[in-house]
Amino acid sequence: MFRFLALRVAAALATIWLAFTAAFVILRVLPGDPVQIQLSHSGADNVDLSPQAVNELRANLGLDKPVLTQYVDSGLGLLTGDAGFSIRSNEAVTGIVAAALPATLELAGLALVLGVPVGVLLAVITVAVPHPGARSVLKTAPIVGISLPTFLIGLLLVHFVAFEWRILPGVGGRGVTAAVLPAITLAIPIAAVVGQILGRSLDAVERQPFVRTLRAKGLGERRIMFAHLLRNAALPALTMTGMLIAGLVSGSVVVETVFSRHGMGKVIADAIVDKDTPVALAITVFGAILIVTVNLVIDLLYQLLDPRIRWKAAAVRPRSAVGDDYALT
Amino acid sequence: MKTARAAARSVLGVALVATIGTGCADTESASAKDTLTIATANTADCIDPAQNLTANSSPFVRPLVDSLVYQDPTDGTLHPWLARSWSSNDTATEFTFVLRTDVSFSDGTPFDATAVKTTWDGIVALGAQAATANSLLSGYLESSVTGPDTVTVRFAGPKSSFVQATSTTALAPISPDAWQVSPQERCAGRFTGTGPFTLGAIEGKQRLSLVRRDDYGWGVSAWHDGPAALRQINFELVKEPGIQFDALVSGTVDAATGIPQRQLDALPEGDYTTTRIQSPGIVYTVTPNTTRGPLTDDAVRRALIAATDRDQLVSVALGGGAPSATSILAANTPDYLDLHDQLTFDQKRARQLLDDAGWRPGADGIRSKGDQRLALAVTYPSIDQVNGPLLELLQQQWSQVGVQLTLRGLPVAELSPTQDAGDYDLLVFNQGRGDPDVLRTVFGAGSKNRARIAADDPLNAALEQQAAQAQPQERTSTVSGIQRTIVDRGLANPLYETGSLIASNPAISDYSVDGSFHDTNWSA
Repeated sequence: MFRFLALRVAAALATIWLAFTAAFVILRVLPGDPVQIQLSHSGADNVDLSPQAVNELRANLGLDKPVLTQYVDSGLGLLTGDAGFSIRSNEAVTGIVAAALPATLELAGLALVLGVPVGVLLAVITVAVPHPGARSVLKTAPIVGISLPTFLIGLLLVHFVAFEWRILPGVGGRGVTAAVLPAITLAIPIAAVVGQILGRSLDAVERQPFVRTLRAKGLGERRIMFAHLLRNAALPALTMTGMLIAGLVSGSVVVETVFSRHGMGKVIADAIVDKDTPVALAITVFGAILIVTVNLVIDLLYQLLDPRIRWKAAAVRPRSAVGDDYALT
Repeated sequence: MKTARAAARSVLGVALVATIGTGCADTESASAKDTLTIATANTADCIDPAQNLTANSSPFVRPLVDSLVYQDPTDGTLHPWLARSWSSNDTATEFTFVLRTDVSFSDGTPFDATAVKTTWDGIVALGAQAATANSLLSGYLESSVTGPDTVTVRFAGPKSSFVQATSTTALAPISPDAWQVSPQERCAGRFTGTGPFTLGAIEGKQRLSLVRRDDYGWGVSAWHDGPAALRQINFELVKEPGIQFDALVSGTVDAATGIPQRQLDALPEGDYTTTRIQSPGIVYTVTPNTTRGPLTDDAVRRALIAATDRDQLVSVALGGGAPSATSILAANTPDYLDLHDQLTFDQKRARQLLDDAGWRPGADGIRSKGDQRLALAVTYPSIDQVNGPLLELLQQQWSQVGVQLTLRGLPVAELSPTQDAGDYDLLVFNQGRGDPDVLRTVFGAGSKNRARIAADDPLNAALEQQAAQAQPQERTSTVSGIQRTIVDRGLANPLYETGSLIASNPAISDYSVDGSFHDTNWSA
């Protein structure tokens, strides 16, 4: 157990370091000087500004140092919790993240709470429904959910629920009510993905011989579903949920734009466009930490759900190999 | 167990009713008659007037701060505000302002000459962090306080545009206390001005509110006396124009500042009023690099002006949402000269000019002279979704007289270095500024020099000359000459006057064109 955890934590730290390095390199390779971008964005393109003043600004931001020094500086800074200042707005990066994070967590949490149960329910009903016609209709539902672009769902919800019927605020709402519509927008694809993957693995597990044995033993269908099928089929959906969580925190920029919310998605999108390196790096590292943590938690959950996966074995056995056991087709 | 579940159910029910209730309450309060709720696409990243590079166009900054001088947004004339009067020396290197003595900052500190000096010294110390403000103060030597109500500022060189510069939010005095905190804190709103409103709150960067200052009594003479009419202004930061439109139509907001004309046309007449805030300065312009290929030929540049149908560009590509340009300067810029006769659409004249200069149409309709084809590329920011279609239309217009135009969209990151290196045939831009000195910063050989003129060009001498003319009449005549020269020589092809369009509830009267919101009110 200890060896397993130590290995996983080491791998997690390496992942975070790699993500930081990759982001640093990409931001370097992208063309353009962040200070110039900032000036042109603000319409200061054609103003009289001495090159000396621009160089001073660059020096203040540490952009005149050698690349390696900047790399080490920002790495050490992030390690010690000092992420520096944004080039775009001159605010402390920690402040920017702190301002955007609560809205994002609220939204992501609500979306998961709405989306995952609906997805599970959808998968269970699909498998449980005896009628083959109804079953195939239910099977296509997740595909529709996945295909619908979030901006379309969002715009429709804003238009009808917020502005036509005025049930919930579209812009300018305060508190949790303002998060409901964007959360529904995000929950639809989550429910669809979870429903799709769980449905497929339930399907596969149901065809396994042990289920026939359970039925032969005279176990009720409900008992078979909840005590045996779901537990055996949950692993791929669990992995997917982990990936969704990570995606929710960094990638909800479309929903944030449609619903005029200030969250992490908007912050990172702006930071990349403006080459606001301190902000982009801080959020990359934050995202990497989140992803490895979620993965670690999910790996631990595997052990609980599936006794076949031993601590020792798990350390050397890739998750894809675990998935093969279920012949997901 | 059963009761616990029932209790949980009723709690849930109450919560649901309560949430729906608050949802409605929000929209109700928005239409209270002394509060205005505005949807805007502006960001509230930094609201410090000096550091916010676009403070002048930012709707939250102007109501917070007063300036020494007031510039009438409709004709560009200058009027007393915090300064009762001003004067300059003959060489326009020294300016003296006599200030009002009955003014205070909203933190209670009295406003005086020292506060002005502190602000300007502070801006200069910020360097490029306050880019726009510093360019307005370029050449600044010092401010000296010669009495509690008199401040004199000296520059290294002539700066006839300085009085206008003091009318911008960038140079507006803020309380000396604000200079004790870090620039980052000022960005977040830790400063106070003398304006008719004070900062209420910035919430999660999604909304911002301004609250009336009840003891305000030093507005400009164009306004009604006393404090502002509105008690509170709420800004909802909404980027998406479609959402702004929906929010306006549903009454969630009372006004919206980012809806394109075309979308507004979809609303029934009388459902909204529109207010256009015109930006002074250089209009949206196509500027040639006069050192490149066919553009070295004066005739080609003049032909491009004649081949441009500005009215069609505006009506088709912008839905009629902006006036066609009638000079290189917008009509509300001081010393603007109406040159619309020189900017008429005349394909015959364009063809004649090109024929006479030896540019003959080839088999594909594109003209050439010797082995040089009349093929040009226009460099523009690729993210510009408004002007992209406009340039495509221009492409068609020019092809009718045998000029091939290609669109070269560049990401913002590459634009600045490309412009400064002069790596373009044609460049499009506009530059806001309420003073004709903007012509020098954009076209002067020693400044941005967008048309790439030589340092010994007579135009360059005129551009420098106007900056040194303290006499208004003399300066007007020089600036008129400059505008004529630029258009006559085809050094710029002005297209349309930029600005922003505000759509508002028809019950709102006097929607603030000067940005102060002092007189804006709900009609009874």
